[in-house]
Amino acid sequence: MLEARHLVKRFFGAAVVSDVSFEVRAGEVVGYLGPNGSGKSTTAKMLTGLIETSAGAVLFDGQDIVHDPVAFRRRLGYVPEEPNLYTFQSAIEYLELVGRLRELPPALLTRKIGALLELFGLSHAANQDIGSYSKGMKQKVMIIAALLHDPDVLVLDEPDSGLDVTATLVLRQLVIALARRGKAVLYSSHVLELVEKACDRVVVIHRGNVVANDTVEALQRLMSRGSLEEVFSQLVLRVDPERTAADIADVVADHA
Amino acid sequence: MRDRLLIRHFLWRFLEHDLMSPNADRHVVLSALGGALVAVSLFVAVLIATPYQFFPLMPAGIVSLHWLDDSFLFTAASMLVMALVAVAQWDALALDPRDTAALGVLPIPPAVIVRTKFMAVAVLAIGVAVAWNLAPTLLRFVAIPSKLGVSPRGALALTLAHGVVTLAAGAFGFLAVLGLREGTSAVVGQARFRRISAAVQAALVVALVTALLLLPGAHTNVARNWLARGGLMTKALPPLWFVGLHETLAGSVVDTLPRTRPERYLAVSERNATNLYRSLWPLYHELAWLAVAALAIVSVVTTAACMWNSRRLPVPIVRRAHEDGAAGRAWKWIVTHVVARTSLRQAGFFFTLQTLSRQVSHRVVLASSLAVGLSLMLITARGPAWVPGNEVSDVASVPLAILAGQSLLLASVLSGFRHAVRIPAELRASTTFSLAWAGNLTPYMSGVKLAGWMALVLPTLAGLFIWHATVLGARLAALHLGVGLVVSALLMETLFVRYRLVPLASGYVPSGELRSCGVASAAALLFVSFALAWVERFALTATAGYLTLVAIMVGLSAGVMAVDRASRRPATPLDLDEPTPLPTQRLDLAR
Repeated sequence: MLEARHLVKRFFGAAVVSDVSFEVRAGEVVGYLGPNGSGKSTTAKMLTGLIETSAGAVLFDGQDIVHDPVAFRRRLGYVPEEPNLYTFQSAIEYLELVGRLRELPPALLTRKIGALLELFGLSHAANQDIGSYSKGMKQKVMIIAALLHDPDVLVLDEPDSGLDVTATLVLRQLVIALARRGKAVLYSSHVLELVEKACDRVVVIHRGNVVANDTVEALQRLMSRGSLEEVFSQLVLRVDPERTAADIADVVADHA
Repeated sequence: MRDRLLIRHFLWRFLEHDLMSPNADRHVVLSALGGALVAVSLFVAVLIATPYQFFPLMPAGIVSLHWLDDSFLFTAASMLVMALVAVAQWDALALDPRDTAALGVLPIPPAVIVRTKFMAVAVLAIGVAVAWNLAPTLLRFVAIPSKLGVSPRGALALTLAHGVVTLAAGAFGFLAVLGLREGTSAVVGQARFRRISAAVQAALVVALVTALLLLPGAHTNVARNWLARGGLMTKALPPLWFVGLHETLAGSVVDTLPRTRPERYLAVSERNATNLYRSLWPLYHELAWLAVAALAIVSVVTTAACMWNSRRLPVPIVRRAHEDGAAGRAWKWIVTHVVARTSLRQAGFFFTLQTLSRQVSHRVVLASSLAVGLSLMLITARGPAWVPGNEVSDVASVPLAILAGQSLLLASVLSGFRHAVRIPAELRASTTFSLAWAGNLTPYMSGVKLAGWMALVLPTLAGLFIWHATVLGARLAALHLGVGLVVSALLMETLFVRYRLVPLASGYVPSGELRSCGVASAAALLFVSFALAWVERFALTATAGYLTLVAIMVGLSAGVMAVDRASRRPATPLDLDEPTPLPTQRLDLAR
């Protein structure tokens, strides 16, 4: 359904994403993993058409998204890494704006906003300015905004950032439920446990290149490791966490 | 060291302002603002001083009266500019919760944070006051006719007095606004103040910009028009207090010069001018005391209010949830079922209303445009026709200026509206539009225009109608209101013809329109407004004529709308990237 084909992104000549290819099929949850600065969010932005690719293409149902980006975005739901919302609006006002821009019927929009705010535990703050929200509350608003129009493909860039335990568990089940209903979901996260339990397949990116693309079980078998965390460590970790932590503590304790 | 760092931090914060692009280079902004202040004041100083050099034989009495006019202009300008700076900074004048979040966790006593914040405010005020008043003060000696025989010591006294008085007037303007803000906050409490703050700021922008624009026309014949009349009005005008202070400090330099016999054609004027100037000496002293007392009082009150409000560092104030009441629900129902029935039109309508009413930058633009419109109205129409109760007897005797005033005000307000919607509501959040945009600008734009029409045009016309009803009578006022409605529709369509950006979402691109076409546009606006007023006055004499005029205006609006729609492209994706000019563009090296 959604395919990244040899994606490259350069900023001022430096490649942030070098050569990324993978596919997210309908009914599938693909985990997208990588350390900070590996190019995950840049890939997500290219997949949604928010930034242009330096090379390569993003295909949706076999068509390059640049041919009809409006039609593609009608079927896309995206939760960006940063919850950039209009802080002077309330959650209801923001979601109404998004729903109206997506031309949802007014009655359906009102019903959906009310129900989703209730289910995400935001109804008590629905009329409060978003500026006064915590990060988790803003993240929930972004997730609702991405789901309002029942998209066929979801790109979730660290959607669990700032969420409490309950909301994180709900999100995990939600992603699975949406995939069962035929949605294609790309799930970028640092919470390896969540990815391990929710995702059918995992793409691991490191320094702008895909270093693994397979099911969790196949990766565990291949790397002879018991958990995704260990697989991830072996694929991308180039430092000894224990040694680095000790070095940091030494620097902190330096008073001379 | 720590204090200096904090003061510098707070000074930079004045440039990180809602009215400035978050991507702007602070040094460039600072240079541009400082340069603008110095350039404008220098231009005014040279303009004022030049005539004195063309009349080197101007006698002392006449010079004294002209200097009263100049003093009024410079003190009033200093006062208004400084007050406007304070209004522009408004929320940045006091500590805010962000300061608490950033600095409260550091081992710095709150008293130090408060002290350095107010030192930064003082540095800002002094810096702007000096930048604005330096050139006129240094050039004041140029305004002394060469044959008058003022000694170097006298010229120095005049220069110093000018500097002291204009700086004092500026300080008064700045402190008055700061005192109003802090005093209101102290009296009503910070939570309530947050609710009324925006309205107070907008009202001050309207009042101060209007006063500044009217100033060039109000500074002539100050002695006869303002001072000689005496009474409460004279003592209630703050710039006159400082004029009195100036004369008390240095008025005698010119007044005590040995009088030579003036040219014969100037003899009577000189004698009258001297008599008038000298007759006002007791008033100068009285006004000077008022200036000193007012400056002292406003300083004490402002300091006390600031200290009271700074007892503890501010904490974030969560605004109470604003759930719609019955009236709000009814209004929403009417809008969604009658006014804007499609989703995209509703998006444009509600988002515009929310942004214009809640974002500082947008409110300031609208308040400034209203101020410009009011100033144009006041400048073009003066006289008894403005006074309620002087109802005109027939249509032919209706002053054109009254009829033209409506178009002038509407054009100004709607130009401000067009400019306001070019500013993104929040640049970072514009991705909301990128992702959800369906590509169809027409219905969204229609909602935006509808919001502008209901939020700005209708209140403007309602306010004008009340005044017109008292001046023209209810029937004529109602007919004039009808013309106002169709003129506003035509103006709205014309201003947005070929507008292809997404209002309140696309990146702001400054245009050179104001610099290149500003004067021509203002002249054209005046011409068209008065021409329309002339046609309207003619049309008002017969029902058929009036209906024809309205029909023509409606037809023109429909025509402009049709042309605009015909030139629109089909649904297109949204590109919200702010087109940043190349660094070399100003030197034209990019060609």
